[in-house]
Formats: sequence, structure tokens, C-alpha cells
Amino acid sequence: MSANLKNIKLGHFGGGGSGGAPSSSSGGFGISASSGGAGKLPTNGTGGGKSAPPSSFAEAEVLATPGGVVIPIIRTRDVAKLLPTIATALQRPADDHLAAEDLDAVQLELEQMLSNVALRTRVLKTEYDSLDKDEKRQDRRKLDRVPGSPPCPASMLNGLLGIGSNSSTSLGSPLGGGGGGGASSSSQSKRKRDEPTGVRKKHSSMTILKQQQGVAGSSAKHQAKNSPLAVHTDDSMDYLPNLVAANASGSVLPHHQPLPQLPKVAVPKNDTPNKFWLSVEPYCMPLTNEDLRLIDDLLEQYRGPLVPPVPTLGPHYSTVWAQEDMKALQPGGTRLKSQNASGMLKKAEGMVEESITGPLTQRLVSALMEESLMTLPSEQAAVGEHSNSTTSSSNENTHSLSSSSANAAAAAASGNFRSLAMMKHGVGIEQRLKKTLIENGLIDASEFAAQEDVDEVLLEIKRVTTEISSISQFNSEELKRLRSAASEEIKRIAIKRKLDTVDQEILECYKRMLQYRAKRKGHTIEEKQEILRLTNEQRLLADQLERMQMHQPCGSGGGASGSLLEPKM
Amino acid sequence: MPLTAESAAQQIQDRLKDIQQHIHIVDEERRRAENSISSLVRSLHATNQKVKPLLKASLMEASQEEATIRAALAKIHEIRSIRNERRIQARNAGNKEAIRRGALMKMVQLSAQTLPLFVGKLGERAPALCGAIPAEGNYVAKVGDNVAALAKGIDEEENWILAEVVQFLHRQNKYDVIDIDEEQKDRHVLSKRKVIPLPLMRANPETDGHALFPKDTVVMALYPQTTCFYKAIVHRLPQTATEDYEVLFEDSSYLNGYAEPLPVAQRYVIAYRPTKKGAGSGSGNLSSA
Repeated sequence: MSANLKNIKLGHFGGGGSGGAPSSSSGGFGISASSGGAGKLPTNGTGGGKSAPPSSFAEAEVLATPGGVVIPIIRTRDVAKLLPTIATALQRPADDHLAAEDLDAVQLELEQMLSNVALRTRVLKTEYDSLDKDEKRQDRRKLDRVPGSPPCPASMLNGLLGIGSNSSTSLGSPLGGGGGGGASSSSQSKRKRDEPTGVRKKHSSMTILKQQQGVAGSSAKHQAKNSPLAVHTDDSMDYLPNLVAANASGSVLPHHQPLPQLPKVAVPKNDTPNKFWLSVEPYCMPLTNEDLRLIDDLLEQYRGPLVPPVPTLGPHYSTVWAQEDMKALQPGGTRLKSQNASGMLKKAEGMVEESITGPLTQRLVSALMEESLMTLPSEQAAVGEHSNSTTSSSNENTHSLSSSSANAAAAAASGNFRSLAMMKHGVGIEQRLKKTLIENGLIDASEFAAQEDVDEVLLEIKRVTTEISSISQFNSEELKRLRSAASEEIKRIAIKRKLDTVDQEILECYKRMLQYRAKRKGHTIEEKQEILRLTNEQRLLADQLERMQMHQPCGSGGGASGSLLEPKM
Repeated sequence: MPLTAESAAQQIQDRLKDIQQHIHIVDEERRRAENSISSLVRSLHATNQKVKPLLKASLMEASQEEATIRAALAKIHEIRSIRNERRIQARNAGNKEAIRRGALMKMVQLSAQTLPLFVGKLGERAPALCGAIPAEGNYVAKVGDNVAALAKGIDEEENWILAEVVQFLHRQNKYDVIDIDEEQKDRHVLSKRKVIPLPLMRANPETDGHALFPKDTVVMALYPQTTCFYKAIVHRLPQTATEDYEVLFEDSSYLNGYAEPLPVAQRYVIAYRPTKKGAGSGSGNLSSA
């Protein structure tokens, strides 16, 4: 098998043009080989790289293409040799029946023929496909040569290669033809040699082009990706009016002029500009409805209230826990009893308040009294001592207050609540004490003010909410502006697309006119009317576009550049 | 509808006639194709512009020829299936003819050789039960199909034998198979797992190489001149549609554990299925009968 392969490679290296030379060498091989069969591999990018050689159809004169591809077919003269049973069956007339004993042999031979036909079909198909591809490539190259049409990306590269290659050495099989399947080593090596140069040329041509055209070329390329129709409308022209003048004249010619010089320029493969343009590409693409939807989604966020409404302050956790504790203490608490519990708590609280009013008085009392001396007999003495040892700040009022409060405390300690309730001095103790202290300048009034309803959490929430709301207001305004700008832009793009189609049609009319002129035929009236109609439409669309553009640049420029602020937390 | 001998013979005769006609037609088409291809080659060499239409014409002719050949082959298969049906009917009717060993082996070989060949059309992949392509999970072998069945021998030893399906018992999910070596007169009822259907078509190495077992695959192969399957390794693939595999059977009497290559037809090489006892390793001396 390997020997076969080697011989074929040699054959192709030596042969080249005519199929006679390789086929004869492999044909000779074929005759000598018996069941192994001569290995004949298709070449020149034709597919079906069958590693297993076709079965023994070898003969002196092999039907092969110039490229050396053998078309498997059983020649008539070989039928007797290869398909003996069928040959004998053929001797008999067609309306006779086949001999039953020949059935098996006939089956095998028919299968042989079937396999042969299948292989033939494959070979022919691959030849056909490769021819097709060649033709298509040639067509594309011809199309790209039409002036005034900036090429599409695929065809651009092919066009460049075509143009570049035409002026340089002929590429055996340009990149497009690389799709061919298994091939012999000669064509493979040829292709390998050509591919790196081809690839290099592609990159070099791309880099040089891009250097020349800058934004225009790349945006045209990107544009083509999104809207295959809008090959010609160059969005970049809108925002960079300076480049328009530079490119208008140079849109077509630079394509061709520097290209013939390209092959001489052996630019080392520079990938950076490609990477750059690829990274910039998402930002330069024309808008679609997808983008609008994205903006809408973003707007959605700002529709509802920013912060869910803050619920009113519930009971303090200490009261809630106290109630729960009461419930827990009571055995098998039913509803009535739980109500009782809250009632009891309130009573208890009331009692606490009744006995000693307010925190201030509590503090005063505790300052004046020692806990350990809160016993009945020694009470009076202690109270008296303490009252005597009060500081100078305490005046008579406080003195009396303290004594009375000490009494109250004593009464409380003894557990006599009733007398407390009737205590007249105790009424408003807290208030009077407060007043006195404030008058004396001991306590600032401000200290009390902040104590009521001090809900720090709520305050914080309010503060933050005001911050956020101002920012979100700004954001939603910006988004709305962006959205209106985007929808405008989409309308513009639609008009541009229409303009492009009209341009195409005009071009076609022009081509037809040229053809007519070449054939010295007159144009019909319908043609003239059509041309007029098309040109009118073109003018209308262009005007429309300009009008939109006049409104656009300021608003959209600002909108596009406006950014959403991030709230600083 | 039971086939009587006469109606079967009549049908076969009809088909034989059809085949004869087809052969003639095929030959005509082949000649035509030959002519067109030689003119095609001539135009290619002359770098004529008419290459494409000539190519198309050749393609058309090739597909026509293919269709005719396939029709002829279909007729042959019909004949075979008619004969097979007759045979099964005869057997069911109790007509047990004793087949000598030599004749049995020849039959086995012949059935392998005349197994229909699968020649794929362009882009067509080999179907299940063609060459090495396994059957689908829910495939049920038909009556009369040949299978490899893991059956218990007399000495409680399990072997994969060549058997024919009598029927499939749906409810129990079991096959009723019979050893093709009718001397055994063995009828086994085995679960689906113990029955491997043999391929229904051969694979054509020229067009569908992927449907063959690759070299060095562990397979189960029918030992020549026996009706038992043993573990083996593929040594050489068939190069043409009529060639056999060459496999190395496991043989502890050899140094490397494997015997010399032996030819086994495509039909009798199936995927290896390990059993609990290690698939009954094959040795040089077998007692299959």
C-alpha cells in the first residue's frame, strides 16, 4: 500500500500536466497488482480521499482526468474477466430467465458493479464540485473588479487575493479552494507553500488597507456583517465629516493602486490592529431593536418606587417580649388570660410609674440613697442623713422632693402601693425635677428633645432614600433620552437601508444602460421612467436622511456620551 | 399465507427472469456510461468548455445504472427470502433433514458470502446491523435470522453458539432459538441479553470503511469449521467486499496468548460481549459438536 502511494506521488511530481504519464506508471502497477488493486488517490483538492484503493479495475488504459483522478468504471473488454457469470448471462437473450445456480455468483458480481458505480458517482461528484468552486471563485473575482463598489468582507479578501495574486505569481489554489479533501503530497505541498504566503498577503493587505482607510474601511466591514444590503452606506461618514472629503475621492482608487505593490511588501504578521478593530466593533455596530429592548429593560427598573414604603414603628421589642413572657408564665394561657396579661403588664407599668416617676427622679433617689439601707427601722435615719449630705445644688425643693421621694421609695419598698397613689407630692415629680434641673443649668433642654421617638434606623433610611432618589431621577432622565435617541437612530438606519437598495437599483440600471450603449440599442421609455423614479426616490430619501441628521448630531451626541451615574454609598 | 412449493417456484422463476432483464439493461447502461466517460476524459484533456454538462450527464448515467443494479439485487434478495421461507415452513412441518457436517459448514460459509452488501449512496451512513454497526437497543431479531446465542451446553458450560431465531416471546422478553447444527436438536429459550443478532449486511470497505471493526479490536468471531463464537482480536480488515477479516483467536497454547490469523467472514465477526465466565476463551482444539 505504501509503495503504491510513493509511486503515485512520484508520478504526479513528474507528470504534472497530462494524465498519461502518471496513469501509465500507476497503470503498469495496476496490471501487476492483482487483488490488492492499484492505489490511485484523487488529487488537486478533489475530495473523496479514499485511502482504500478501488478494487481491481486496473487496465492498460485507465480513464483518468488530467489531474490524475481515475474514474472507476468497468470497461467492456474487462467484463468477461471480472464478471464472468454476468458475461455468460448476457449471452442468453433478455427474455430468458437466469440460471438458478448462477444466482450467488451473479449477486456477488452485481454487488461489485454497484460498488464500482458508487465510487464513480463519488469521484464525478467531487470533480463537479471542485469545478463549481473554481467557477464561483472566478465569478467573485470578476464582480469585485467593478468600480465604485467597496467589497464585502469575504469577497473583499478574495478580491484582494485575486487582484494581488493576479499581479504576482499565480496561486495554485487560493484560500477558498482549501476545502478540498485528501490530496497527494505534491498538491498538498504546493498548497502548503501557497497558503502561508496567501495568509500573509491577506493580513498584509488588510493592515495596509486599514491604515489607509482608518475608520471607514472597518465600519464598512462591520456594517456589512449586520446588514448585508447596506454594503455601501458608510455610517462613519456621519460623525466624522472630515474623513468624508478625504475618503470620497479615495474610496475606490486606493483599493487598486497600492495593491499591486502589496506582494513586494513583506510585512511581518501584525495582528494588533485586527484585535483593536475587533474590540471596537461592538461599539460601532448599527443599532437594532435588541438594543432598544435593552434600554427599555433598564428603564423598567426606575418605574416603581425605589424603596418599599417603610412600615410604621411597631411596639418596642421589650414590651413584646414582656407580654410573651407573661403569657409563657401563665399556665395554659387562653385568650382572656392573655388579655389579662397585657392588662397586668400595663398595670405593673403604671405602678412602676406611680411609685417613682421618671428616670430623673430615679437617678436622684438612687444617688441619695444607699440600697442596703432601704430597711424600715433605719430608714428614717438614713434618709435624714442623706438628706443632710446632699450637695449644694439641691435646694429646698429638691430636698423636700428627695425626702418625699425617699418616703415614696420607702413606701414602695415596703410594698404599700396604695399610699403612693394618694401621694400628692409625687404627682408631677418628674416634670418639676426636670424644670428645676434645667433652670439650674444642669441639664440641657436639648437632651430631652431628641429622646422622643428616636428611631435612628428610620432616619438613616430616609436620608439614604433621598440620596438615591435624586440619582435615580437623573438616571431615568438619561435613559429616556438615550431611548429616544436610539429610536431615532433606528429610523435613520432604516432610511439608510432603503437608500442603499435604491442605490443598488440605480447601479443596475446604469449597467444596463451601458450594455445598451455598447450594443448600440436605444433605451426604452420604461427604462427612462424607471431611472427617473429611482433617482427621485434616492433624492427624497437622501433629503429625509439629511433632515434627520440635522436634528440628530447635537442630541444624540450628548445622549450617546452621557453616562449613568453610580450612586455613591 | 403458506407458500406452496409450486407458487414459490413460480415466484422464483419470475424473479429470475426479471434479473436477467436487469442484467441486460445494466450492461447497456454501463456501455453508455463508458462512452460518456471516455468522451468526458477526452474533453478534460482538451480543456474543453463543455466539461460541466458532460460531468452532469455522467452523473445522471451513473445514478441510473446504480438504480438498475439495486433493483436487480433486490430481486435476488427476494428470491432468497422466498427460499428461506420455504425452508422454515418445511422445518416447522416437521421435515427434518439431516445435514452432514461438511454440508453444514459450506452452508454457513455460503450464507456469509451471499449476505447482501451495503453500498451507501453519497452521504449515506451505514445503518444498524451492517458490518460492525450494532443493532439498536429495541431491535428484535426476526424469525429465521441468525444470531449468536449464549447457550448452556451439556456440561453446564456456556458458549456462544450460532443459532437461528424461531420466535421471540414478547411477554417474557426471550428468544426461542435453535442451534443451526441440527444434530444437537437443541432448542433454547434465552433472554434478550444472551442473544446477539448477526449483521444483516456486509459493509463495503471501499465506500463505508467506518462500518468495519478497526484493527486490534476485541471481537467475537466464529471459529472456522465450527459453529461457536470465541473471543478474538482483529488482525486485518477486508480490503474488498468479498474478502474476510483475519482474526487472532485467544489460545493459551501459544506464547503470546493468541493463535495465528484465521479468516472469518464479515458476518461472523461481532462485537465482544463479556460474560461472567470470561466469554469462554477459545483454544485451538474445540469441541463444538
